[in-house]
Amino acid sequence: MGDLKEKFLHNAELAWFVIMLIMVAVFFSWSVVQVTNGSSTSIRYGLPLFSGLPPFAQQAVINFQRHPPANGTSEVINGVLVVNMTAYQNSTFSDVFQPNLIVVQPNQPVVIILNSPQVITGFFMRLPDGVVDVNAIPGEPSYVYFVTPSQPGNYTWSEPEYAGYGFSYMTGTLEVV
Amino acid sequence: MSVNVRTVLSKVTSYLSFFSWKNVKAILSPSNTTGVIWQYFAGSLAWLVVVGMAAMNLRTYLTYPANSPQVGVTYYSFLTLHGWSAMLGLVPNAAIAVIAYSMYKNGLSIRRTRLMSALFWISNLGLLFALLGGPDMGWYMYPPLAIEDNSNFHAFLLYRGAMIGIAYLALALNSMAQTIATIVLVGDAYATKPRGQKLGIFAAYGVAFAVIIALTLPALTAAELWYSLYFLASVPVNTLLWLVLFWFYGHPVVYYVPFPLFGALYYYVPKFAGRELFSEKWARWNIYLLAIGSMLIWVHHIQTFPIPVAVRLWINLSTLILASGSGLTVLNLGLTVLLSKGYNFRDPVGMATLMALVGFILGGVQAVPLPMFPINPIVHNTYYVVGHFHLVIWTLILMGFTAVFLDLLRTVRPGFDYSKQTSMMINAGILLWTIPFATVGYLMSVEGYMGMLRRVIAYPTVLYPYNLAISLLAEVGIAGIVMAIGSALVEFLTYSTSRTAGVSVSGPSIGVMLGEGGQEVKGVEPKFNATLNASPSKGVKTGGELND
Repeated sequence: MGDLKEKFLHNAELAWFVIMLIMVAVFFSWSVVQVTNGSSTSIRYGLPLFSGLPPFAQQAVINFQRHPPANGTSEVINGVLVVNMTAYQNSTFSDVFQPNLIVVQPNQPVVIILNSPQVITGFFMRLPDGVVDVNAIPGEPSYVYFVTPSQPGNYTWSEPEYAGYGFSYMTGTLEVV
Repeated sequence: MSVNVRTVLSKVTSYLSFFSWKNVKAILSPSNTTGVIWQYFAGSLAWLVVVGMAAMNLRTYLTYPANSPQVGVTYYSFLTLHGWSAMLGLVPNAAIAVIAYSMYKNGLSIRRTRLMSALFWISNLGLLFALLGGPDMGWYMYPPLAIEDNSNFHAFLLYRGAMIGIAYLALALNSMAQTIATIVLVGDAYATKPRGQKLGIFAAYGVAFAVIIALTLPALTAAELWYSLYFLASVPVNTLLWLVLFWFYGHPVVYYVPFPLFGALYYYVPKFAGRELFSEKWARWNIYLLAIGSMLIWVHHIQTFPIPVAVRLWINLSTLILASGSGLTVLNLGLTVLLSKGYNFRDPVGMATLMALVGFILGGVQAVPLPMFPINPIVHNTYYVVGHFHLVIWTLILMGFTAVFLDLLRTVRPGFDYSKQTSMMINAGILLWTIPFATVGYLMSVEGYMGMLRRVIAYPTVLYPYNLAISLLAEVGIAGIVMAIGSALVEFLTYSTSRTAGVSVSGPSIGVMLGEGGQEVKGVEPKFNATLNASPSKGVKTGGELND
């Protein structure tokens, strides 16, 4: 025991360095276990993937894509509002988001399928319960999921990515009625 | 009267002789290690001026919350000028300058000086050519915006079609030349290192991260060549793959200067603390953590993009590795300072070193929450991130760079040291720079958390006071760095050897600066460390510092 202590003290720098590496490994493993079990936040949080949607929202999107609505842009399926949105770049910076107005009920789950055929765009909206912030690239849709605020009112979403000279003015409105 | 005219003419002739072909050639194509170091330091300072001027233009626009879209063309041109000058000009030049100086301080030499000089000109002229086309796509150059040339958007205001391809080719030459320069440094460090002797900690960091630059910068070259081929050979660009390629370079680039500077901090902090480094072994093992972490951490820049989940999980581990390495650096240096009997912050190099360390802590703290999955989307794409990385640039990079530059001035001219008055001016300038910019960094992060999106030219009026304060403090801070570096340069350039040697050689002497006319003077520095808190001595010592 005395020898071990002597060796430890002699190699104290190495010992503490190894302890630090063990702490990194433990913290990482704990994080992976929690995420895998779902006891912590989802690793998919913030990722605009189909797999990041809750199962009932995934089912709504599948139904939406199998049976597109007559208006082609939005439909409430099993209580979930699915919106097929496209961000078109143009020189006037108006009507970039189509649609640029979404009318919803309070506490309603919403899925936005965001298409960006020309340049990288995104969807950024501050809600009372958090921030929705995703990017979309050409050729691959991004999926946005959130629950609308309980308070009626107008909430503005913005274009968070540099998508043209006037991207600061590329906005849309979520109207909670 | 005639005597006075003759004296004046003599003085003027003396000063004009500075611009003789021999001196101009020595500046344009230096033939020794110190000349190359000067060249890259001068390049860094030149780009720093451009970066600062462009930034102040941007900050002026942002004092108005509702700039019209028509302002966008000008704003984003200056934004790209600011970003490219910083990330493709200042950062690589400064990194190479610091790495070369770390070798010099350890008695190593640059053998291929002409090649290093040629690479300097190729890289900087390549960048200059691309900038002359009026790029306005931002330094990220995300596709397809950066290759768009239609009625919606022009990636270059002046270049069209194939000329854009040539501009990207010039950028590829810029990054390729910088990569080769770091390979040359690694090769020359290996060739000139005395056998059987361990590299000093400064040079060990310098050379190790020259390798990291050589491994990651080619990703940028490949990304730029891809754009070039798009215009010149119609090769299609895949957006997500291009982003991955870019960020494989784009994250490590923020460490190109800081990590060699960590070596400088490990070298200077113990000197000014008057004791040994708390743990040199930690410092040396840390190189591996920082190298691995910096190369593999790129995913957190695209956390809001549709990337595979497994890839996202990876950043958790790579970020922890990097964070542990960075934390160990702070602990090691912090314990060195705290366990000393006093830190000599009156010396300008000591003050700049200390501020670089403090700045790294302040800027590093901001970064800790960024890779966490629940937090990242709240602040991604906002000024929170802008505040973090600018704070690291302003404090760690620029203050660390300033520390090395101040030491360079003191080292290359035997006998030269800063007077008490100049030291006070430099220290005041360092504080006048650091305090406002640390405040600006945190103000930016707060307004980012409140929803200020990066790169916008119009924003909610609730954020107006923040932007006004940021612009004002930035103006104040710039005066600080001009005061710090300006005071040092003025004393250096007006220094006369008669002060110490009793021989009057007035005016700037390029020969002394570049170590010409004889054996190169290596590792010359005043014995300011001999006595803690004592006034700097004018004495010098020569020779390498292989055993530091």
